[in-house]
Amino acid sequence: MPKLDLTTLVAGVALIAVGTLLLLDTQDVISMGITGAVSSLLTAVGAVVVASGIARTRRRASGDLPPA
Amino acid sequence: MSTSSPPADPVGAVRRLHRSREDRILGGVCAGLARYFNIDPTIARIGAAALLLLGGVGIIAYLAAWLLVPEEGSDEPLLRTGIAVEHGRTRVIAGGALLVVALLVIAGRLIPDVSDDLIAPSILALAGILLLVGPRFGGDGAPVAPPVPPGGGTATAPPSAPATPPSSPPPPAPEDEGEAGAGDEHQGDEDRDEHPAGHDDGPGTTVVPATSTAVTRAVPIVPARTGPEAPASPTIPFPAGFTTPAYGGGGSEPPTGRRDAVPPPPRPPRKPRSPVGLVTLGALLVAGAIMAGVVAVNPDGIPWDTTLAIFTIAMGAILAVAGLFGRARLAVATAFSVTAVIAVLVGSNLHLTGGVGDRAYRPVGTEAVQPRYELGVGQLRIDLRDATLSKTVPTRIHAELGVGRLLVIVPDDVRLTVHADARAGNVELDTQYSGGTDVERSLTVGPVKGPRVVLDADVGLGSIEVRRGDPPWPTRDGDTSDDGASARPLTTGGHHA
Repeated sequence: MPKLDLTTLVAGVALIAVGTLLLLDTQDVISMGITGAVSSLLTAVGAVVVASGIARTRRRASGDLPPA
Repeated sequence: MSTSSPPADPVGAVRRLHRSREDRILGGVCAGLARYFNIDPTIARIGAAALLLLGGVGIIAYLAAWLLVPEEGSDEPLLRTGIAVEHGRTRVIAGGALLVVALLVIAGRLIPDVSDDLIAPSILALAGILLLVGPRFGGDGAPVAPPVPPGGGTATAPPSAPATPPSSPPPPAPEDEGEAGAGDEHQGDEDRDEHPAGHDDGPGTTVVPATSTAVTRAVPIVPARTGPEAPASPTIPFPAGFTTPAYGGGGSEPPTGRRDAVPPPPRPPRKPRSPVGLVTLGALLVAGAIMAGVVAVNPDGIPWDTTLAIFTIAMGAILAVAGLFGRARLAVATAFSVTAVIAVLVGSNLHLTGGVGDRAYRPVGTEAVQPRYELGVGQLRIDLRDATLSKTVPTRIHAELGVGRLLVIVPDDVRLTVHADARAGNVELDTQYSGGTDVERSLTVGPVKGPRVVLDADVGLGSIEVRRGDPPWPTRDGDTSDDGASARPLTTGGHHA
């Protein structure tokens, strides 16, 4: 049974979102600029950090990690 | 009295650089450097990946370090011991990489149709494939079983193995490497025995000669003890020829009160590494190689920024799939590092086509004015003062620069309409100045009845300067500048210098 890793999964979904925005920018569908591109990337990083925190909390609750 | 003693490390000895055996992906060079400089190994790996872009310098440096830097637990570099002592996956990766790189270089020399641009993507693909299939070889980096000599009557105990009192029973399985041969995966890489049995590992190792058949399994080290306090006799009848060198603790005198000594706590068994991380990293490399190969084969096909955006989506899809099977933290870090560079490149709308260097255009006459000027990196200077411009039809010019400085000079009597766009940098339109990111400015100046010029200026990172008339030109701080005159000598007729 494969063991799902929330952090990696969220990172993948976030990168798909960032890549889609960049693709739309290159096709002149939207205009992100460097500010928008960096902002979207930081948003993705934030999502990964949040997912990592949630995963750690779950592992701690299930006893896989010692309590903080 | 002991027969020998291991050399003690002098105080303040020079710290030595070793390749890591525990935290390796390929040869352990990056992890060893990270440990030496006390930094995160991921940073070292990202730096090494960046070096790959410098014309293969990184590959040469890595291979050199692999051959010259000794592995952890050894003082001999691979160049001296030979690559055959390396284990499992590492050996497969190293040998396969060297062979394919060599074949690519040879193919590039012999077959003229093989483009040099395909070599780097091929190397990336090779590394990715080897990472993908690597876990199938030698398990998860587990050592290849050392050859067991005929007779099998040899055994070695690792130098770090704790001494066992003579009266205690022989320890069971965990130390029984001689019989297991392949070692214990859970013991950690540092506990591997690289040498075939029967080899003298130096002080602290008990060696049974190959001719002996009395002992067929690992035997704990029994220190040579002399004097009145020595125990009467060991419980294991050692055959003739069995040597008992110095006590493993390194001192010249045997310690007293060994029965009261607290043995070090056993190391917790290491969890076997999941192959998901390496497989994911390999998939990322293969995806990058495919993208680079597509661009190399058909450079006029998909624009490079579109290719990078698609590659980002592909990396995300790979990570999402990997997340369903396990952790791939290194792949996540790698993918986000690459995406950071891609976001800056694509977000900056960099147009890196057109070459690198300085270009200066000073067209004469109407025909010489080109509708489009472009440069990748450098200074692009367009001087229209000698051009004959139509008074009835507007002269439209599109100037595009990736990184650098764009300078456009128009005559005073021209009706100029400018639309300037700098993703990061500054825009100076006559006396107006704007700076920052995503700077977008428009300006219309000059006599209404004069010739009309419509300029569309686009710069990724850098500056856009539009000047009217002859220098010196006024600057935003109230001074004057004739900086444009200091550029490279201008050519006429629309040809660049």
